[in-house]
Amino acid sequence: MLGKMNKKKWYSIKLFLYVLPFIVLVLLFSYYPLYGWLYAFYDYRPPRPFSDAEFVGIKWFKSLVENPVKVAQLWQVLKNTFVMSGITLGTSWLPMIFAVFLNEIRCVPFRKFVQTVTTLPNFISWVLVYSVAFSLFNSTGMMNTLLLNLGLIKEPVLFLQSSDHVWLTQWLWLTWKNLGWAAIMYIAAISSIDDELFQAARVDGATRMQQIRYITIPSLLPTFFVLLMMNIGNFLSNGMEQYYVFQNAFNKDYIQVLDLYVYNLAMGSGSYSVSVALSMLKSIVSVLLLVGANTISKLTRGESFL
Amino acid sequence: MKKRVIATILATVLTASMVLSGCGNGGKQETPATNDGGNQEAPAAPEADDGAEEEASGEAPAAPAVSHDQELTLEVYDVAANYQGLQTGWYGKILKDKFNLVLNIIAPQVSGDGEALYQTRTAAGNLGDIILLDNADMLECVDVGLVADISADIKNYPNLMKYWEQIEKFNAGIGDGIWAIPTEMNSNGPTEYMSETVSSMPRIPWDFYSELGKPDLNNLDDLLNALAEMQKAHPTNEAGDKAYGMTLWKDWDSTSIENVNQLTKWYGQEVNGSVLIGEDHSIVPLTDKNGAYYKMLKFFFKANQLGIVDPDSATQDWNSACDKMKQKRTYLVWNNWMQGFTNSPEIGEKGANYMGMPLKDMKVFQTSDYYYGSGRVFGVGAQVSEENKARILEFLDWLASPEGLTIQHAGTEGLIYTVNDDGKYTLTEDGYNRFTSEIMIPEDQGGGNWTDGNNQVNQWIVASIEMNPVTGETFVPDLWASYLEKNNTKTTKEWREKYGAQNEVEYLKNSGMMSPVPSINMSLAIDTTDIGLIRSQCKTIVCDTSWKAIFAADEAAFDALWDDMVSQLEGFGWNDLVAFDTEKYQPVIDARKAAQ
Repeated sequence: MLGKMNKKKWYSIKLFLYVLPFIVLVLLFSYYPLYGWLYAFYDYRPPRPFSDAEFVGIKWFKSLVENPVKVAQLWQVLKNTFVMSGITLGTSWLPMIFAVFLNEIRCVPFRKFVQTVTTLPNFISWVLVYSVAFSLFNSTGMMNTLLLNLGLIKEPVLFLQSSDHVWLTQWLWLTWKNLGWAAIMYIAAISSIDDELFQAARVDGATRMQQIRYITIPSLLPTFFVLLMMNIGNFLSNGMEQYYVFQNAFNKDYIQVLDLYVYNLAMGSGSYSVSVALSMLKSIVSVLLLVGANTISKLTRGESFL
Repeated sequence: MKKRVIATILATVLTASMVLSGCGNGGKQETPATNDGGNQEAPAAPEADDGAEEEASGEAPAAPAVSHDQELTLEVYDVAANYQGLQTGWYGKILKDKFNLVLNIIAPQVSGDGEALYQTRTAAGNLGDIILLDNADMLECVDVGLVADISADIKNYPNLMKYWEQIEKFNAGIGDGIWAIPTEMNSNGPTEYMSETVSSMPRIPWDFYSELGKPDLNNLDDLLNALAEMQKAHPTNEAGDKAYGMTLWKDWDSTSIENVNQLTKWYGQEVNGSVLIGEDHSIVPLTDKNGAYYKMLKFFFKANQLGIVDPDSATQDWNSACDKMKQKRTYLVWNNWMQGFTNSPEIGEKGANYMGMPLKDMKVFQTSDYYYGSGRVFGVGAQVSEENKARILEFLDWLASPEGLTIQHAGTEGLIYTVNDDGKYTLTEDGYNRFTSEIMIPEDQGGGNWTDGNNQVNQWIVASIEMNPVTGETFVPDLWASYLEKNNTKTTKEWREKYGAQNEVEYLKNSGMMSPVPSINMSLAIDTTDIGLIRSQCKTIVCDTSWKAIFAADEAAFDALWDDMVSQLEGFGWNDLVAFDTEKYQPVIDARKAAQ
């Protein structure tokens, strides 16, 4: 009896040891940094060390919203964040459709070629993407030279300095970079669909479009929803590298998303305390969004992922 | 979460700085070692003073002997550098041979986001072995213990001790001890202005101006029209590259756009943070609509309306703007040292040097020579070992020695200058062309080209207008008798004929368009966290709006942008900032009044 208990106990310890490294990692990289939230309550300014900083309570939180101009700026930043994340979320079915159509290509070498070409941009850093963009679109770049030589324009067009359609162009760059990579998950999911379904459909005389409509896409939907939920959790974190490299005086009103705003505040000015306060708010909103999305998922589809 | 953000930030900054420094590796050290483009005989008076100082310093105890057996790589945190990486080439070889030193230059100006670099390095507690900072930053770093006290050591270094009065005066403002060595000092006295050129005024190519029939330029509109005419007549340079009336760059921006800041000096005001300090000792907010910032921003806007602003202006950096100056792709330059890229005796003989153009309604703001220092200071890192500290001070002392200064402000004997029978120096052919063309260096002297191998630290403890006790002339070649003779070119003669003066300083002084204000070098109040936050948020608004205003579609859009900027600034606490800066600069104004 005792031996049996010990064996069982030992078994759970073993299982626990399996996950221990990951728990440690999570603690180390996700919980330990929360200690940095302390900075939001102090008057910290480098090069003076943190130990010398004065406790100021919630001064920085208040200063974020102390007058209409500041609120307006924060509002604009939030708007940019929501719109750009919204566009990305709203078009998150694109990689799925892309994967479905890619899968329908019968000529294997061509399919592989397309897949490789669309996946590659994911591995190019944003800094390099910008340098490509710069050489294509600056006043003496390829685009302007071409248009000038064709006689379509008389003066170079300053594409990168334009404040029009910033959200759209940024979404295009992001899609160009991510589409192929995001499709990989769906391609894997497609290959796991039981082939008998397709065979049965063909026997029943289903066309290719009907197979896609009634078999492929429904089978992909669970994957799609899991990814969608995960994206919602990251709604406010649409990254900053892309916007950091593309930002300039002319498009900053529209391109400054929350992460970039935090960065510009902290690194540009040494206002670390304020930016910590801001990013704390961000974490809280993210958690709320995630819980919200989970609830909706539970209500509408009867599944939850938390 | 926070950690990940920081990791991402660091990765981006690193990549960015690597890419940027990679691009910058043409090693363009673009600021010539001179404040002068002169053409008048060097005044002889200060020579006597100088000899006396020499003697006095001879009595000081000798520097402690240090071993040069070990190669020592020094990190130089350098706010003046336009180049990041190891000092190579001919100057690098001299340091290696003489002191077994290698300089690793860390350049916030090149790294993409200088402020971030400064903060991460100070937060880490090690800024560099040799530190070059603006006065206020140095004060802060001394305060938190990042800088070493050199009061016990400095007395052993005779060349630095020559400037003891200035060093002591500056450090008295910091507190106990000697922490920092001012830059650009001289021994000519606090109110002298020796140069033959002012730091900023309109400078345009004399040949194109002559083609227009040398019209009188009465105001900014006349200047714009002249530039527009020039661009119409010469839409490209000789190589066929597109040329513009003016080209701007954004990487020197501070609280406001640096290009505009330089131009405010044409109308008697200097930008200092959020305020304009006048040559009449007035002090007004930057946003004053009657102030020079608004006026000169509008000047750029009008220029853009005329189509004479380079469309790359808002996106390019200094290095590409400088290349355009060298290739005559821009027809207006303003700082006197920029003439180093556009002028040479040969070009001058063709009548094509860029010359200062006094506009009739100008009132030039000019400080006297930096007797007390320029506003930047050198320090030694607190983490440096005693042994290395001695080697660093030995090196700094050499930088202030006649030999070191000759090498920094002129170059090497044989290659850049030769010694005449009377002991004075003459530039060689390569010497004359060292800033305008690519001078290759023999392999045994370090190889590469002269510009890449030049002193990339780009800041000098002693100014180039200081007298060399060896020759009795200045260190800067531009005022050598041999140079003045050679530089008495067609351009200069024609200019003198038109303006009836030897040089622009003489003209400006005679016509009452300039009276130098005394140069003051003192340590000023440091931003509190609140003011720092306000400054940074306002900075973004001022700079972004200024760039947008230059490229605004029409006058109404320009005014709308300006008004919107002012009301936004108010929301971010601009008035507090102006009040802070007004108080901060009051001691400077008081000192100026006292010195006059």
